[in-house]
Amino acid sequence: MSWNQNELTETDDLQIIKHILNGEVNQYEILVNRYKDYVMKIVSSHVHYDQAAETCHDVFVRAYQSLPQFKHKGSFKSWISRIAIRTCHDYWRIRYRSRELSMTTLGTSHTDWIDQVVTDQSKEQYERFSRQKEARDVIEWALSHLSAQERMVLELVSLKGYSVKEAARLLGWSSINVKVRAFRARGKLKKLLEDPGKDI
Amino acid sequence: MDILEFSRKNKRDVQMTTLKKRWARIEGVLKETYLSKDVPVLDDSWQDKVMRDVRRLGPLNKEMAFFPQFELLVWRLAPAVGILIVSMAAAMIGYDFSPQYDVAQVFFSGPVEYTLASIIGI
Repeated sequence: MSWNQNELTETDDLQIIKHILNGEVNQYEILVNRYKDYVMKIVSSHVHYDQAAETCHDVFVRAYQSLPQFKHKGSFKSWISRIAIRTCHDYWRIRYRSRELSMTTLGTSHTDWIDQVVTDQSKEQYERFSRQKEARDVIEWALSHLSAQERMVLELVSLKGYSVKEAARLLGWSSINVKVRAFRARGKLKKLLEDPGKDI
Repeated sequence: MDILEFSRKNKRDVQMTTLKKRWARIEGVLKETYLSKDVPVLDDSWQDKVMRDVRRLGPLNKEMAFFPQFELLVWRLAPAVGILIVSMAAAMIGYDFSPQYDVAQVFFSGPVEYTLASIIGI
């Protein structure tokens, strides 16, 4: 999308929001249709595949309820991305609190996978390793050993490559908080993967 | 630095580099795995469900925003209230406030308090 198109969409979004706030509820469908894929992309990277649609649903309902608080300082797109991230954080907070996480242990195939990743240095193998089932299991296992906050920070900063400032803006935390948590989470992850049998 | 110490340091450096490389490699592969996660496709029924819930909530009005804004205002005022409480506590300590003594003084000095004291039977 070009810069002009972006600006047009933003102006259009503001007009739609104005209509919604004046009672035209059905206008919200335009925003849902416009941003559902964008929100889904954010949500699906943080929550489980089978929970992504439901979480995405929560994001849009939450965004609708918060619409009167929408300040016209930024775009609707960045505003809804913040809501999406915070909804994902809430999703994990609830799961961790109710202990709904599957604390699976790593089998020999997983530890073998880690060893192979370290020993095989070729580029082709690198891509093959990342596509393997073991890779998904290992990352899920490691993330389930972190707290909800550490998990979100690690995903945003270390895995997605966001800057500390950007992650802080998305989560609504201070930069220092994000920096400290990211450092701790990375350390924990490192410990977990260096010695998968040991509990931290 | 003697040869033995140098060789020990060198060995340690090599070990550190190997560990760093090992970690970088694992982290790189996991990063790639994370980024290649599948994105589910949202169908029309999903959108209908969202809109059904939104319609159920009904039209939004500006009054709805009052309570969240009020909450925001309360939190913004919290540091000022905190400072006020601390300064008032400090002032009270400074005045040497002793309620029992003051109450007793008022009780026995004033005529009204005297009457009250006699009623109670002091």
